[in-house]
Amino acid sequence: MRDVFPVPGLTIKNISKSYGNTKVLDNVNIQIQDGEFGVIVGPSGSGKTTLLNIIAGFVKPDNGEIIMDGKILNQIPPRDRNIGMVFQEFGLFSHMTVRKNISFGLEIKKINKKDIGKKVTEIADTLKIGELLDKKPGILSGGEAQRVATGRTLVTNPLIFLFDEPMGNLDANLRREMVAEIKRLHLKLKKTFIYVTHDQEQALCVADRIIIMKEGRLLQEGHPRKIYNYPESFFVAEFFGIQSMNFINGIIITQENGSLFRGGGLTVMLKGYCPSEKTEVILGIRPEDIIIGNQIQEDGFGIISSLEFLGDINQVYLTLEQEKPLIAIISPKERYGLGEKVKIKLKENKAFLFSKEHGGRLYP
Amino acid sequence: MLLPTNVIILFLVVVPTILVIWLSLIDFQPNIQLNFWQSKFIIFRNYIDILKDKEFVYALIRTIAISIVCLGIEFTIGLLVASILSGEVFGKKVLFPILIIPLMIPSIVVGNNFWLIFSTNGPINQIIGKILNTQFVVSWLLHPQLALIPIVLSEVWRWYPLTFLILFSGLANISVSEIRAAQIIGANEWQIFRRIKLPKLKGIIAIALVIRMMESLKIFDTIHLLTRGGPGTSTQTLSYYLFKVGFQYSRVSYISAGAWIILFISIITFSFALRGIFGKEK
Repeated sequence: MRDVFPVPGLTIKNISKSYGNTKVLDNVNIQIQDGEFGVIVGPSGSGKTTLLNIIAGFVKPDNGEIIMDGKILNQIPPRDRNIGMVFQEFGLFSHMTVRKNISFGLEIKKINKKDIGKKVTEIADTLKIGELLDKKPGILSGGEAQRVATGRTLVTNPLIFLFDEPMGNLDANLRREMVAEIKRLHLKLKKTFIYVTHDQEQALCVADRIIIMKEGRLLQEGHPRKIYNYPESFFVAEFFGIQSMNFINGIIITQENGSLFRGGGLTVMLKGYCPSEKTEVILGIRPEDIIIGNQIQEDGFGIISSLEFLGDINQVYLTLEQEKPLIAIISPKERYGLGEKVKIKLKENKAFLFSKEHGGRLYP
Repeated sequence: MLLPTNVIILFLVVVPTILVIWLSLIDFQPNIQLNFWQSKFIIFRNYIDILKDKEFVYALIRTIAISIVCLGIEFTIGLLVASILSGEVFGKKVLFPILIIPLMIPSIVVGNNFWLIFSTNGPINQIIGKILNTQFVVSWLLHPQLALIPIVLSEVWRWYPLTFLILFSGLANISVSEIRAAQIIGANEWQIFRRIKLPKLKGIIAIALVIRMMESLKIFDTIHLLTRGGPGTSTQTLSYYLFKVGFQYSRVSYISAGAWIILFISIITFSFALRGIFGKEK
């Protein structure tokens, strides 16, 4: 009985892949634990779909291994890998009804008709697609098509589920709903899921582990909280967060027990950070970590150039001595007028420093 | 606005149609009476006579048989080659044009080549002789039954690239993710072919079948170049028969009736064939 044992995780070891001179994947190492919901996220062209195709076995890697359940999968054809995959375009068999689509995986295994019927009904109940069974895939909506594609995968009882993000032409709300559905399924099945997307918000919402890729390289992986609180590079910091991080260009001035950041009209004390020389850096601070007011010990001043009322929070745009305004989130109880000059303070230990040269995190 | 089109259609379709209907109802033989409007009306006499004509009926059956055999072979080869070439094949870019060369060769060249290949001293006999290590002499083209082999082979050789091309484009249109989905669900190559590719090719197969069937029912040049319908009438096909009777024996009305019968049979056959292919979907 397969289901009694813990479900297997997946190890991606030193995977590289090039097409001609273009390096699509560059020595990628990922470990996804048993039963985890892993989300691979990255901008388009980061190689995430290729990675998924390598896991499924449609693309052969130039180097490296895919290991599942202690077995190296490289030489095993897709049909024997016991992996389920929902494709970007869903890949539903357009000449078959939904029922036939779902039963396909059982029919090719020559299972008797009665059992197939029972299993299909069971799957249809789980995914609430009972009334779609006799329709052709062509008339299904995006959400329905995804559910059918999931059902078709589910029926073969794979050990690992792969989801390629649905086509970009679905609207954001629908896509979010679909992800939520996959998450519910994950909680129910408790199997290893790998979801590929370019939408960082989705990733933050559902993932147990986020894997961030860019230009074929793994930038950072870990729990969403870790990624959010400790971005390891400028790119990750910029990429994650509902409201993106503020960045200020500046330089570091070393002092006795720490250093000072100076840029954009702000002077920020950084305790315990002692670089050897003057370095050009980018300071990053999340909107919720900026305090503005009149009775605070300020790091600098800013002029309120715009105010956005968003219900339970207010968003303030502060003009500094740099082109891009600083965005801060404040409670609606605090009231300021447009054009007002206010004191700005960055919460202690919340600012990040990134190297201007290579984008890596320098502090904390 | 539609007038010019209508005029063109009138002259291209309606006038000849009426003319042929009329021709089939009179007794027009240009070697006896040159003005066809002076010929005698004999109504259905031509139809009855030609249906009783054994040469016509045999030619009809022979043509259908040749068509079925040719199409069967062409589709098998075409589908096989298309399937192979739609995967990743070494030298695909070179192979592709080579494979469709037969389509570009004029039929007179094909016919004469096959005539040479199958002639009594030709390479086929010599090769078989070498293999069997004896003197091998078969007059392929002069044998009433064996003569059908070079006919079928030359037709297949010339026309399989067409079915290959059509089926190849059909295969290329099947989405990669559907094939991959079937693979990862656990289907093997044969199951994917049977359950995914073939049903999706159904429409395009029907189209290719109709195009080729129409063409092969008219088979003439190959017959003319290889056997001239002989020996005797043993390889005579419909169009060869119509050509012989109509233009050599000058029985124009008689073959007009024959043409109508062929058209009628074709329409019935095609509508049944198409219904057989598409009808099951509902």
